[in-house]
Amino acid sequence: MKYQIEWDDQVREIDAQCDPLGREWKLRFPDGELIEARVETLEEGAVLRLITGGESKTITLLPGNRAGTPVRFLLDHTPMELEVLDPIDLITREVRSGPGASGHHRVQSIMPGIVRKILASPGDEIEAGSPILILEAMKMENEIAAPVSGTVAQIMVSEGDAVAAGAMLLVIDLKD
Amino acid sequence: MSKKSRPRIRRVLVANRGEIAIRIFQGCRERGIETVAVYSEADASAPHRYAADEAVRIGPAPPAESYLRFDKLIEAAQRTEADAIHPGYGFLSENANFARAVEEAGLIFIGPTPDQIESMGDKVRARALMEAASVPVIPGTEDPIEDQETLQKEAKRIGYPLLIKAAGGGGGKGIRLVEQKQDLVSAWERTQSEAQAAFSDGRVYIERFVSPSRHIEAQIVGDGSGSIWFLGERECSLQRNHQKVLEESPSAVISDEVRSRIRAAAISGASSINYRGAGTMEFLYDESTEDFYFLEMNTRLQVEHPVTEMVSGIDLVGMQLDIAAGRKLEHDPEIPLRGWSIEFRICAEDPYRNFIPSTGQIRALRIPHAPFCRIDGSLREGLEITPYYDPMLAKAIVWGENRNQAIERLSALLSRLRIGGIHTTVPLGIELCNQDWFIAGQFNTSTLESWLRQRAEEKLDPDTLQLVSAVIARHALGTARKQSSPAVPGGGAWGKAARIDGIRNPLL
Repeated sequence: MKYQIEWDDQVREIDAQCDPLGREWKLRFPDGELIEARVETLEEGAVLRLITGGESKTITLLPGNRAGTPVRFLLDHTPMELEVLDPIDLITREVRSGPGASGHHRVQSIMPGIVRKILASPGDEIEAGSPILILEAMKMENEIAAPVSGTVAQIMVSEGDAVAAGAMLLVIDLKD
Repeated sequence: MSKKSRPRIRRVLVANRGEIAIRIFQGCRERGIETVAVYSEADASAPHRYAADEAVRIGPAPPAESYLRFDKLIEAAQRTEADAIHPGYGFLSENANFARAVEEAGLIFIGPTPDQIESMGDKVRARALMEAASVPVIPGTEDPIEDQETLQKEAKRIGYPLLIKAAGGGGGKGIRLVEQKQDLVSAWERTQSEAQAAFSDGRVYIERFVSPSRHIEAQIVGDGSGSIWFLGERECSLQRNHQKVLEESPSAVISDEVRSRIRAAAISGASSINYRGAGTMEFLYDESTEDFYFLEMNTRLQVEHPVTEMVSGIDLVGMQLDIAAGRKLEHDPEIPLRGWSIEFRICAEDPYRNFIPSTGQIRALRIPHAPFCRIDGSLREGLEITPYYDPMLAKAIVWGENRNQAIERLSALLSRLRIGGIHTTVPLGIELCNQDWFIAGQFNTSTLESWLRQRAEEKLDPDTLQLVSAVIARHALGTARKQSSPAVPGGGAWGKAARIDGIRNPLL
């Protein structure tokens, strides 16, 4: 089975084989290096022991591991987060990757909260990084900055609105 | 045997929510005191609601319409025939007007007198009072800053970096660091508006930012007639955004000699105002000179009070209740402190994404039980974490004979704790326990933030072992997803929720 790991601008393909129970592993790296590993389950669905090359490591799977997000785990005590695509993910991605919307950028809320202040108006020219609104969440005021430079085309929220994570806040027409 | 008079307090209403409400109910129960919870509409199914003998709904989710409503809280107390109100921490715990309203309604306010809350809550007055009691204070403005001209003038006098602080603030809210002149005015404006919204008091003042420094605080308890107990110091230097992340008692850098000076200052300061109840004097500690400066006094129970309880064996909530019922104390007795205690705050924040708040449903929960470990929390499976309140969900507290043992216990405890469905700061706690600088006790109030910043900037360069682990982790998640996704007839809410959200494993 082919797995693909991505980080920064790098991609590594690993050919991994394991028995049906996922205990005995053989992983082949692009440079031909072969790693043999043994995996034991310490806590069902949460904690694994990895034994390879005479070393024993604990892998703890972390919350928030939703489909389509990078894999989060602790390797012993070190938090790791890596984009790992399994064969199914690779197929799904090929199907989904269509041409993206161009010309404008939709700014979504990264967190749930209450819109305290809107600092931009439709028609404003804004630079990437300049504050566009203030969102209050869990008692803290957070300045939300424009992710791109351009012209504010539309603002979808009003001061005092409660917004969910992922809610559309405003649309910025990109500079040509 | 003794002619025990009927306790003055028979029923306590806790004007708070979450873990602290539950903690206070427990303290009451141990003394045979009945308990009343209050809850907002957003907290209709919150654990604290069911942890009391009775519960009263007090209004909609926003705190200003529920947990901050004097009238509704007092009315709830009267309706349920409570004779005292415990404010917890945050919300109205340091609001003198509330304490006054409680007393005027003929109820006992479990805390200091309204005048004490007022004078200590006014950071400017508090400084003056403490200075008069020979407590060392930090350079800053005497009066709140109301216009830009004064702001510029005072900032120039005190120098950068400086802190803008809400006069009515506390608990790390309403504080901004200004490193350079051009940020001064906007930070001043933002702090004012934040302070106005959070504390209904827009006054701010400025003080010098001593860096590097450590945050050391003294736990005291007073009986209202000048007798004070000193229960050791707490080290709270590990902070992010002026929010404490991990606290310990004692501090790794406070010698017996410094501790006795802190004790003398805390006792003198608290005694000079005849302080009543549990309180904390916060100091900024300069490790290089061994000098400490009074920052502010928190006239309430602190979030991190358990570390003091662990090393002193004294139940602080119990003492609050006893003092509210009229108990008198011996002045400045020798209170033996033993071993080491550490607390880590578990917050609904994503440590991988710059700590953005994480809301949603707790899908799975496993709280480990282990010797010398205590988890104070307000958690249950299925609980919805809303954006209305503080992100702190629980506190993991451990005790050890020495610091290393406490650190190892905390690491082990956090490693076994599972809170599924939302992001929490648990991985940060585990990582901290395994950092050399933390184990060595070498840190100050800016260490955590600079370490986090540096880590965020590090380029990812996984080695072979890490890549192998990632594939195996991914495979394990995939397996779990396949197991949980089939539509089991009557598979229950978990399976359904997992399918809807594409969760690979309900435990995660």
